Amino acid sequence: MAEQTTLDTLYLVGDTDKNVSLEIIIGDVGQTASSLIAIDQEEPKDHEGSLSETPIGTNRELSNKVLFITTTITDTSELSNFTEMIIRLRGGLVFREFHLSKTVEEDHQSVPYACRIKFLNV
Amino acid sequence: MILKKIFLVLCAGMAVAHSYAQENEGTTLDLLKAPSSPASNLLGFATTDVDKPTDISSLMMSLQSASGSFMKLPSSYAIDLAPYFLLNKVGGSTTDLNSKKYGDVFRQTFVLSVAIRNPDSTAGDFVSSSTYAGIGFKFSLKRPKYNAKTEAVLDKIHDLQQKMNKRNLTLLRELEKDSELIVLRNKLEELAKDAARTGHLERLNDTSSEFHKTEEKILQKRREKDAADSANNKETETAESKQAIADDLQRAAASFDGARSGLSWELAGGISGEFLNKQFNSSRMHNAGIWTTLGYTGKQGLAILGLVRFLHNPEKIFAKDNELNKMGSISTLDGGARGVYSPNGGRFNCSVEAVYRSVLSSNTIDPSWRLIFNADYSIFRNQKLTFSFGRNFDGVITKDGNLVAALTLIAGLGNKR
Repeated sequence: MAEQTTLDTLYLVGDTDKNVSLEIIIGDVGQTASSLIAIDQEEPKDHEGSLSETPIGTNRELSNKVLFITTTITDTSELSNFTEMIIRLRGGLVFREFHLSKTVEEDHQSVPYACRIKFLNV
Repeated sequence: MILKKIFLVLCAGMAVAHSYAQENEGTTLDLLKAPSSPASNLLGFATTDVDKPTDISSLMMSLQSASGSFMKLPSSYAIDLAPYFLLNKVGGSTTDLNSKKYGDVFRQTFVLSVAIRNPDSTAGDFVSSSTYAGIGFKFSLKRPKYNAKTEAVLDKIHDLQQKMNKRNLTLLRELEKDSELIVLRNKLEELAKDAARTGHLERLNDTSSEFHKTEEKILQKRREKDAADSANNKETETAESKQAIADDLQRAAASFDGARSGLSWELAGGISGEFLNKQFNSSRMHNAGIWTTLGYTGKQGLAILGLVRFLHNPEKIFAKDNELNKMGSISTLDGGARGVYSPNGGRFNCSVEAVYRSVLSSNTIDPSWRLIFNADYSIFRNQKLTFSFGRNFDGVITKDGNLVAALTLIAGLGNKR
């Protein structure tokens, strides 16, 4: 599995009032993570660990806005040096899932992840 | 029929383990750590009968009987799978593992366990010409929470992480003005609009498409910008710099041991079968059971656990001292207790376990008991000195010590290390 810690992509939305939801899953089991989640220049929200499926706005509200997610995963697992971040977006034109991961070279190191997802209205 | 199904599940377990090891080469399999293995309990090669609750991994493997003067291959294997983790249905971060919601606790602690035992002639209550296979499950009804020290370390790690995230968010937002990235991102948007207009949204996931290639170019540009940022930081090292935060994080993470304290309650069960003469098409049920473990773990690493277990043995069981029961089906009820001392973060563990077995379905067989002292010391990851001494249900006094270093066998199980 190729290592990737950055994401810069699009999520297609339409002119509807259907909610778009965000889900973040942190791995490997036993790692410690915190995230900052922001849309455009709004004040970012802190979150610790995985984020269960959460509505972040309707298709129309998110149209042409940018979602920023910066996450740091620290290796606190005794069994694994693997860190992983899975981002799932639902509610737009299609479901999309993004896998980011990196294995730290030394025990207890951290991996910063930086994601930018633009909601493109097509 | 049911035994064949068990065997097929075992094969599926092995296949999952194999593919997991291949795909996820960064994950270390701790061959000596199978803390939640009800299948090995049924087949009689678990280190203890009364398990202490521990955090699980998505895949745990255990090779047993690897001592034997190092002249033979391990004869017993156990694999524990956490299906919700393997299927990415639940988060596994330390924050997630401290969730109080019962749905989370169940999914994070639910373990399917499979085991195979090829007994030798010294395994009294097992037939050496047969192969035994078992499948079991385990989950927590009540999980102890992290202790105060663990919580304090996690708070510190989260604070440092947010400092790092804040810094990275600022950099990410600054890149919105980068002219090279703007050109590439505009191109990406045009490609996406074109895909939507022509009804070819599959291009967004096609790794050979122009859309994907443009995404790659953007990521490459981002990596160049990140590298430039890191280089700038080396020249202007401050307390807030990326490296300083990373170093603080590494120190804080090194002091994390994941210790928990409080009440715990687990439920486990399973079924096992015997393949006569190691033949797949000649099998019978060996035993089946369900048991629950209730305990309390103190702040200093001392845990007291109690066990109640019901076992049904259709053929035979050692319930009578040093003598096989030939009376057909027997059901037994076990009551046990275990005291465990494992200093937080330490490599040393010791425990004393006592289990009393009463026979429910016969009044001609006397009850039996088991008393075992266990101690182990982790030398390195995957290398552990163990010592065990005590009396088993069959009345035999056992004393075992081993230095297990069966790492060469990993290759046979599919890991490329």
